[in-house]
Amino acid sequence: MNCEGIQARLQDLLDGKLSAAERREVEAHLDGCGECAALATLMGPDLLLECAPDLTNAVLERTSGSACSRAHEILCESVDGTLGHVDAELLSLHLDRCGECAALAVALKRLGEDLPAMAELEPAAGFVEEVLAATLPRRSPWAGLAARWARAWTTLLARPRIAWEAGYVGTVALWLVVSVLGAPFQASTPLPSVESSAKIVDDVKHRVSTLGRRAWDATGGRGQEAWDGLQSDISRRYRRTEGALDAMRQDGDRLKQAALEFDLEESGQALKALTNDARSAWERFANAPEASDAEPE
Amino acid sequence: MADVATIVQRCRRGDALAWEALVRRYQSRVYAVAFHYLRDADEARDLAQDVFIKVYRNLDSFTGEGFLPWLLRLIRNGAIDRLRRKKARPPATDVPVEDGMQLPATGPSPEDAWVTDARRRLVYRALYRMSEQNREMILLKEIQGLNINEIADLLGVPVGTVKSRSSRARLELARRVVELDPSYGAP
Repeated sequence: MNCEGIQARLQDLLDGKLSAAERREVEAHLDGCGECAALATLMGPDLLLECAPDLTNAVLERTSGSACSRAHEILCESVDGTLGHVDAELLSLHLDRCGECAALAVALKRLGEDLPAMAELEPAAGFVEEVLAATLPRRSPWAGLAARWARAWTTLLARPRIAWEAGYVGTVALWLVVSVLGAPFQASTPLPSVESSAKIVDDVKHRVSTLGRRAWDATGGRGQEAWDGLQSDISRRYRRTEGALDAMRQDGDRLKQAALEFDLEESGQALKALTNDARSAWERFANAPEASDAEPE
Repeated sequence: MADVATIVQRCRRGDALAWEALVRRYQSRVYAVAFHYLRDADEARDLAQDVFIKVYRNLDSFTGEGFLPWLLRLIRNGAIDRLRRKKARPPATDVPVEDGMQLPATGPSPEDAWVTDARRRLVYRALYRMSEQNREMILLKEIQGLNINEIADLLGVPVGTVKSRSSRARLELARRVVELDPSYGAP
């Protein structure tokens, strides 16, 4: 066998595909032929193992780029076991050489075990009891309305300016009732005119005088004496109250002034004095007149 | 154990035992999801209660299929409402926090109680470094186990979008975990 035939069988020799007789023949030739022996050394496994990684990376850099992105695309399917046979083999070859992708593959596999265990988280004790208390017995959506109203009112009343707001709302409501809506405080019929008022007064006077005349006729003239006595009594009682009425006027002016000046303390005192004056005036009027109070002749 | 449809049917008839069983069966899940969204124990508890009360009042409208997706929809909507309200309402007072200063804890958080070992704690930390969209995808698909169609229905997006988002989310989580601890998952 010449050199050309030997060199054609070198790859089969390295792959172990030659029969024993053929191998002996090729090896005998290599012992005697320096050129073929050098070629066989270059094709040898030691040299290939030493150079392949760098060579592969260099070639990839100058051609398709890194295969990692493609590996990432199918990593999940590989972990899930849904990857096709060929892709699985190619990915396996890549993972044998790429530590980064191999770490990701391992992490993905472990995450597949760890994540489902995180599906549940025990709430604090009493959770179920609280839910059951809020739901059982089965109620209609309106069932909690009263409780919600109560809560809303409590919240409303706890507002800092509730008194001011309530006063304002109340005033507006009162104004609406009295002035706008025609409510009970408003006269249901138009007020009488001045002329009709005069007629009413005349009518009342006529009735009173008729009544007086009938009373006069019934008492036989003694009514005049009684009437004169009553007038005299009232006059005396009124004169006794004059001092108290003057004091009431003064205290009334004092109350008015204090109210205008927003002086609450002074207003309170004036109101108290006014009340005392009123009581004093009433006591003087109500008590029976004394002899000294007799009308001067 | 009776299936959910049967229990719900009994709840509709006013069976108090069935309702209690339903609440007990789903309380941890509802609370976990609420906590994932809100990250506050008290808020999560309130939301979980609200969700169960809503479920109770709307049992008649439930068709009997997809109880968990229905539950998750209620939680999600409730959480979004609460977060929106919280966002609109600024805190009452501003408390300056200096570097290194630790605010006093008010008690053991569910996070602490739940994450009992370092590995889960790590996953938890990685989870909350993710984008909201990806985290929600992990929550619904990987943690709660909804299928693609249910998630698409819940989020109102096409199935294809859910698939691609799901892969992205898983990869992002894996990257975050490996960043925090390169030895994660190693035997």
